[in-house]
Amino acid sequence: MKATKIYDKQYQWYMFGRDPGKKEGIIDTNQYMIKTDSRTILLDPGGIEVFASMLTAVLHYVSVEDITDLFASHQDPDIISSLGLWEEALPHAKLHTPWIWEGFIRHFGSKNITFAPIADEGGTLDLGDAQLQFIPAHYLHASGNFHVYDAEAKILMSGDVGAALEAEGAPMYVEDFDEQIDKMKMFHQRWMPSNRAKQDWINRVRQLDIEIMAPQHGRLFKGDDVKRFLDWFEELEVGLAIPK
Amino acid sequence: MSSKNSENILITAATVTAELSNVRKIAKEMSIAVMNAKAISHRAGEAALGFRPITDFIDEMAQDVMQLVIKISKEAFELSQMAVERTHIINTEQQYNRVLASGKDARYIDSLKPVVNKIHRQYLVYQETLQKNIVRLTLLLDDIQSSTKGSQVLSTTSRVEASRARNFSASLEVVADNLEQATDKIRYHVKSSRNKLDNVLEILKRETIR
Repeated sequence: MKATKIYDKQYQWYMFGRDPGKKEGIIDTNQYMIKTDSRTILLDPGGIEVFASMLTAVLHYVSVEDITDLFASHQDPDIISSLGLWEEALPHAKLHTPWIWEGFIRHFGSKNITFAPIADEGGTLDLGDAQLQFIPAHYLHASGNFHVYDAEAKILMSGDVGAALEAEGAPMYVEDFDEQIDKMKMFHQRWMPSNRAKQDWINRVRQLDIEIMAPQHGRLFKGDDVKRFLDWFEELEVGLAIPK
Repeated sequence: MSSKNSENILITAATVTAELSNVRKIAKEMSIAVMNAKAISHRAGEAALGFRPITDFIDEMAQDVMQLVIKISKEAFELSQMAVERTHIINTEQQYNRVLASGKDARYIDSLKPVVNKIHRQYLVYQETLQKNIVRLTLLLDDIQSSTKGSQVLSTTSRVEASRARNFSASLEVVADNLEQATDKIRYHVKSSRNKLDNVLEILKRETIR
């Protein structure tokens, strides 16, 4: 699995993805890690299928004892079905996840991990050098859903928002926004159920200073492409599986 | 170490449960037949006096079998649960071994070794617990075989006593025949369960030695 450092100052953000060993038919996922001097959190650590390659990649940068926290934006298998496997190595880690999914996520072989449920209005997490905010993104696409914002690094980990269905080995960052639209239009129209939820999220996110928007699938948005995405998403009608 | 063996254990546990459901049904039918025999021997009066203690004995045997079936079903359920957990541990160990193999050049790979050792110890504990559970199950199955051991003698005695019951002898002979058939069926189901468990136990022992 490819690892890319996307922020490197007092602490680091890493993106893991573009796994060449991934089995055919499994959607490619981006996993993230924030490492400070005292703590390390894995954001949407991935499904069972990518566990071994994800852990191998992570061990190039941190030891297992240094991983203190996990975050699951929602309950999907590609987000956190590896939980039962991570638990064996991280018995003392905390899992930060929307409160409504705790009982569901425990179905992923979870026995001992401490759940730190996130209330609907969001919350914060102090990782020492890094201060994280859990930004509500409910119904985008899961009914309980959070994104992670780091004001210092100006990074928004945006879960399925901004996601695209890409060919294998796609570049790490969006290079031409107009070309990217084709890859993400259907995904947002079909996976995102609510225009009202979409607008609420856009209003919230427009208040944030974002240099990188980092989705869980596809390419990352940098600089002006973040604003381009928000403008495009605002105009897009979602929830199209139900005919008018 | 193989998760395929866990599947075998799961299938065996399910099969034993199904076989025992049959045993329980037969024992229940025996118990009902005995009630009927008691009523007949009561009506036969003095002529069936020798048959009455036999019906008590058959009833006791049927009750014993039903009690044992309840215990065995509980053990078989625990066996299936353990087989599922064992599969999880085996899969986990395989995943971690994959990381050890592919991450040899990773800077922090050594931090994983205590984790892998811990997982392997868990696997060995499951292996031992499973074997103990299977042995307990086989002993309970042996108890059923022991409970039904005297049935052939009992059935012969029943026939002798039935023949003395004059007008009622035909009805009581049917009871004696049914008893023999029922216990034969019970012993068949129990033996079949026992064989399956013995096979699984053998596989587990071989796996542990390896």
